[in-house]
Amino acid sequence: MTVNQFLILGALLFSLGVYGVLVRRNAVAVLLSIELMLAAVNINLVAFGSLLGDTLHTGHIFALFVITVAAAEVGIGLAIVILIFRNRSSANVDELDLMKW
Amino acid sequence: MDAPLRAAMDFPILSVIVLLPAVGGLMVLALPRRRGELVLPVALALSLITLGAACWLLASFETGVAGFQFEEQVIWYEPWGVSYHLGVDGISLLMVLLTAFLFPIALLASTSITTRVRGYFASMLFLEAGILGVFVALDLLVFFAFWEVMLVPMYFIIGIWGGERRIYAALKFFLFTALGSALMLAGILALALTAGDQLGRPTFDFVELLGVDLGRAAQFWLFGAFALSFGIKVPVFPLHTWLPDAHVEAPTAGSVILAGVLLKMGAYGLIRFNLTLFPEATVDLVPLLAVLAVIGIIYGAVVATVQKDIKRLVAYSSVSHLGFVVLGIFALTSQGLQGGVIQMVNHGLTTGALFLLVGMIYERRHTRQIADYGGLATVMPLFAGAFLFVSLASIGLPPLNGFVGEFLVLLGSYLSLPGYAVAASLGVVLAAVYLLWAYQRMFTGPITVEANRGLADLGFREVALLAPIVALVLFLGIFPKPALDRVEPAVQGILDRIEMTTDYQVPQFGIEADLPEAEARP
Amino acid sequence: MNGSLTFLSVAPEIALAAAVVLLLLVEVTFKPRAWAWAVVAGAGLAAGTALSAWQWVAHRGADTGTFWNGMIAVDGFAALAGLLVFPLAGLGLMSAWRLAASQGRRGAEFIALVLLAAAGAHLMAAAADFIMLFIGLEVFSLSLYVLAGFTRERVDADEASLKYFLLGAFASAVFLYGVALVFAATGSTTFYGDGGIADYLAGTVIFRPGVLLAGLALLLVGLAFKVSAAPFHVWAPDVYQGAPGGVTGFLAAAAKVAGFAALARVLTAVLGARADDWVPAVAVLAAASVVVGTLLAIVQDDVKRLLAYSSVAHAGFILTALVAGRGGVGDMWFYLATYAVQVLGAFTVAAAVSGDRAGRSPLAHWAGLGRRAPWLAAAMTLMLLAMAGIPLTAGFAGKVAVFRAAIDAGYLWLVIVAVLATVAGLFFYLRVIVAMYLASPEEGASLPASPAVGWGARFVLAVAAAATLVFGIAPWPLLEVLRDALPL
Repeated sequence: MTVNQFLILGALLFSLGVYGVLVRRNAVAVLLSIELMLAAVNINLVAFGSLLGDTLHTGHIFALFVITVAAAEVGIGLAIVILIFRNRSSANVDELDLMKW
Repeated sequence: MDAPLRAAMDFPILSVIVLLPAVGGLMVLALPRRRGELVLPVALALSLITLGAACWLLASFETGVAGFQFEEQVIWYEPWGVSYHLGVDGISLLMVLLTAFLFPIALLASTSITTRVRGYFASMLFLEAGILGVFVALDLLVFFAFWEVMLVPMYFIIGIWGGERRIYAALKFFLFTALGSALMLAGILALALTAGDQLGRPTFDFVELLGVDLGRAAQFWLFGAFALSFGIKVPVFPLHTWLPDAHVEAPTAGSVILAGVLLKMGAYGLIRFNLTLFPEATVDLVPLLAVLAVIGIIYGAVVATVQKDIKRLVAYSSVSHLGFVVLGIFALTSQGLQGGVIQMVNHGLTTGALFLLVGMIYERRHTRQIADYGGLATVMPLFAGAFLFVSLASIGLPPLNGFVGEFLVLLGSYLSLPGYAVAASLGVVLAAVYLLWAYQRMFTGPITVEANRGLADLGFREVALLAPIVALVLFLGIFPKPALDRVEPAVQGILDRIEMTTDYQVPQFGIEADLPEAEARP
Repeated sequence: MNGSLTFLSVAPEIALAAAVVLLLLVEVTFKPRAWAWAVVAGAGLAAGTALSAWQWVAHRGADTGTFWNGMIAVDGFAALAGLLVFPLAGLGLMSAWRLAASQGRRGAEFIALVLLAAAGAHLMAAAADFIMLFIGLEVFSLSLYVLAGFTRERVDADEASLKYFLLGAFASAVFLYGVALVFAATGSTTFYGDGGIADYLAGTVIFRPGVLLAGLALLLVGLAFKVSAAPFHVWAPDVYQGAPGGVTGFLAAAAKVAGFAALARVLTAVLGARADDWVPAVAVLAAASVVVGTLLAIVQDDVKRLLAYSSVAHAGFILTALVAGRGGVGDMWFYLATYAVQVLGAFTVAAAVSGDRAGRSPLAHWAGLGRRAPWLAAAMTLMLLAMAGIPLTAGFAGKVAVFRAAIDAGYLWLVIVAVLATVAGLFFYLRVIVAMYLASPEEGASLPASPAVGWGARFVLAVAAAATLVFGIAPWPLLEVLRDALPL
């Protein structure tokens, strides 16, 4: 196995995530897309970590940090989405246009 | 130099002159709201003390010496080469005196201001401090700081206490000036860092920068950046559009200061910085500037002729008169430059007086339309006399001051730019046309509008305002030597520097102007 | 590196975290009055500031180092960031005090979030490893997302919060991907020391230069989002406008300080060896920011939105200093510190004028403020003139500093663009001044109740005005000091 496969997988996942952020209208779906991007990051980190044979396992540890922080991020994000939903009965990003973009 | 004089030289007189009005501004702001009657006396007192200090400066100024006097220098920030460096030569001395002289008059002419009086007088005093700072600063960054800071009080003076379209006029004034000065800031920084390449450390010090060889291309760019800024302020022909609006909308005192002093800052900057720092570019760009100056002279005069609003007429006459100043400067002859400087002072006095007079009649009738007047000489003989006197001075009738300046400018430019001089002399004729025609329509003949019949003639305060200006107009017209003696060495220094750094030769009477070409012939 | 020093290296963060825990515990246990919050928060921030000051005295210049296996750097840069961020958080709390006190028991959470954000911001500046930088970034950002929507019943604030969150999380992911690629290229996430990124890049042979460049670009994009540099600024106007008035000042000031601290360390110290790659990109970002920020600010009718676009332009000015690389870091700090104070002051006035819970602050609210509240108007005028770069204010000194740095680095074109933008910028700063002094309120316009200013806000304005004037008239001492605030 070469590292290229992982690189490509990561890049694909990341692009998918970016695409999702740009086109999905539901805030929860956007949140999911961001999680995809973070998954791509984790794949890259772990793949390079093992490829480089890093004795400190920097890549693996970093991936763990990313997972932890991502969990916190989702917690906050969902809370905000719920808040929005309560106030407007919708979580559609397109309708967030009280202020012009 | 004897000991007392040297002690006097060590006294930081220039800092004091700059700080006095600023202190006055703070004092005015600190006055309690209910003691409104104290505002004018305090402001006036501080500006008169400033005038006194300026007179002391004049008395102890050594005539016939080139270079800067009363220099003060404190290193401010070594790594940037910034120092608090002040000094005056003959040119800046006259400008300082003009400023200090006009401000008390402008303050006294502001009694019609009734709203936010403290703010108004404080703004005027801060404005005076800024302008004085511009004229004495010898460090480019300090110069720029004063230059830019002075915009803020002027903006408020036009914008709060001005006429109908004050907000528009204030914004236009501010943005035009700021555009120029921003480019100048870029130029100043580039200049300082270019100097840094040669000296091993950057410097903003004007005197040190004189010793830096910039190279031709850099001189052109920097000349452009500086000239644009100064040209907007002067204003040189296509950059003048802010001026009529600002002049017309400003309150009387604001117009007096704007015309009397602020415009001079641009011309002063051209002389002080463009001519000395970028001599090669100056010599090469003389035709361009001279053309613009002549266009300004004629255009200003023609547009002034057709104005229906007397204040606008005076405003456009400024464009024309300042054209003479620019022509004199870029004639690059001793006579032309001296004439330019003297003309700056003259224009400050006569146009200042004209705006005062316009303000006085406006306070009575609340109209500036020439058509609303007519035959005023019968009800207001004193006013008519003063108007005629100042108009004649502005036209350049001997033996009034305008004659000296315009004559020297035309003489000087005839030496180096004969064609332009001839064209410019048309401006003198046109000046007579628009001012005397305006006089005729407003003052002679029978009274045409009934409302004018009961107008009161000038009161004591108004006479007191005009008297010093009239006296100075006469004095400078009959006996300009004291002023010329002080300007001459400074002018000569500038021309010497141009001759030294370029192959330009200052033409003089009796010597062929185009010597270099003559030598080049086989 | 002895043991006590190891803990002292993160002492500011520990102090802040302790204050947060204490605050929340005291709150649920004793349900004290609001002044008790102030005591705890003040003690935490004072401790953080004092510890940063100690770090500054002991560790600026030569005597610097990294701790915890190269995770945390203690140097003049980190210490200065602490000296800036913690007092700024204190001022931000004072400015928002009325808002916090009006939130009932949730006020303690508000204060805790501000403290956490401050700790995260300092961690971003002190991080010597991308892992730490990421954690600091997230602690900081997550706190701000919540703060932006703190008045949860207001729809504007929700919207601001969600937009900030979505775009912020997106930017974090982009940043992380960049980190992963840099890790792939260099084999390390640590900045300094043997085998660190700086060490690797200083070497002659670079494997996978393409991956490194891609990573570098993504890093830059991610951080440009955080500092709202154009074209990654789209969140800033909405968030600044929607967030509660009392919060916006701290949000704007802290986001700039933290983001630029991280950016400056990553670019100048870590990637210093690859300066040729990133300097042109930074120059383009800077030019785009000043132009876009200025042009869009001109057409705004809401003061908070206008200040948001102006902050985009200011991000550009600060980036201008960074094209000079390490030589521009001191100038960047000067601009950043003075701007942070100005923007905090300006938003404090906005909160007083339009209400500290309200999001919007239309220009109509400002009409005739010069008569209604002369001191507020005067303070705002000073802040606006400083942001516009009028001499004798700190804004002018800052502009000269960053322009000088950029010209020195050979980027005259960038300075000319910035200078022209400065002039255009005068236009919208003057619009606000015109509204305050020259315009009178429209007939029948419904103005908010006469501006109420708490003592905290008054103090903030006094400090901001004093700092703006003092550092405008005599910037040299501060500039001199900031020359020591370099990253390792």
